[in-house]
Amino acid sequence: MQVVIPEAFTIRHQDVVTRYLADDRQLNSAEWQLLYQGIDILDTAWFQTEVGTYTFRQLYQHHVDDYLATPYLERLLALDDIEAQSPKLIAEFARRIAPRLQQAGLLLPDAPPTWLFYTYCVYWWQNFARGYAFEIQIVRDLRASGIELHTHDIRDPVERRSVADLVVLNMTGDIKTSTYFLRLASSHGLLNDFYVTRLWAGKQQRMLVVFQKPAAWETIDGDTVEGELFDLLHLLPQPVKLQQGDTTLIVVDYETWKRRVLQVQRREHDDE
Amino acid sequence: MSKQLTEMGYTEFQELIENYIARSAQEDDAVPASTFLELLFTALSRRVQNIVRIEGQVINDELIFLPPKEETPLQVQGNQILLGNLRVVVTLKRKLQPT
Repeated sequence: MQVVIPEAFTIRHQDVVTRYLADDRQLNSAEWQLLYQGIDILDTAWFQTEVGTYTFRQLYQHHVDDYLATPYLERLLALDDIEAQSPKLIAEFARRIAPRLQQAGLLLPDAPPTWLFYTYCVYWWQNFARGYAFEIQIVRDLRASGIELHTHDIRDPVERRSVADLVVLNMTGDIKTSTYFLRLASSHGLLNDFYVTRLWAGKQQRMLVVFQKPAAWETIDGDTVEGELFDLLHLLPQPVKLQQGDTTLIVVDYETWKRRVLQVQRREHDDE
Repeated sequence: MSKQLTEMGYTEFQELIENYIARSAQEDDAVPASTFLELLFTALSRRVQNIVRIEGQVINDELIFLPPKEETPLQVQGNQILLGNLRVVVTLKRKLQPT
């Protein structure tokens, strides 16, 4: 068995991955970019075995996603308080990865390149697990707020991969943590009308926001103020229009967005 | 540069991962908002630049794509566009006949 890491994955990528694992709060903008680039390169690293060649991405799918995703989601959906209870569950499932890979001969104490594969698996698992905890938390909050919505069934492995997580006011939307949101933007572009995500607003503070295409924002009837990328946090909770090149997005604070959606849905009911 | 992942002892590596699991189960990656926005718009603008132009002709009421003039990752075949394992079949809608 041989592990082949593409030459494009340099010592700088390995360095930033190591520092990310130790403490991600120390990374600067260029290093985050380097980290995401390194993880993307590892998608195409591969194991050469007696029975064939398999990329990290394929092996992750088989040994981690196929193995853990559905039982994890069943347990996650059964939790009463996602925010408080999910971290323990996420870690419990992440700790199942090493024994699984060891059993498959894909994590060996004396073969450091296999550690990169294990790191890759844990990185994606944590993102997957946190991503769905966030999605369920938001969906529950939207329902509790009285917003009418349709959601995909995350128990179904096919439906789970649908382009949109939910539909509100005939607009398709996605609920994504920042890492998945960036990955999606790089690989597929933004296909939906809106994206609920959370931003780091400071060392300890997270802020829920909704990114929308201009047409989606018009649907819920909103004015905006023009903003630059660097001053978004100062302008929120006002709806902010960000424009860079050909791309325009409206960023609005989540609570404001919910209020506007609710108003439109109530107006529609009154008109019926 | 600090010690690399693959230069550590296995026990040290396991400790690093265990600490990461415990920390990352609690919180999203701490990407500052300004960095996130910069990466997001860079990613979107890169995608916008990846434009592949193809032309087609309507021949006998059928849409036929012409071979791309520049090198692209896609191929065309009649009314079909092939990209990797994706096959996009484009069919023209017939105009409604006035009654």
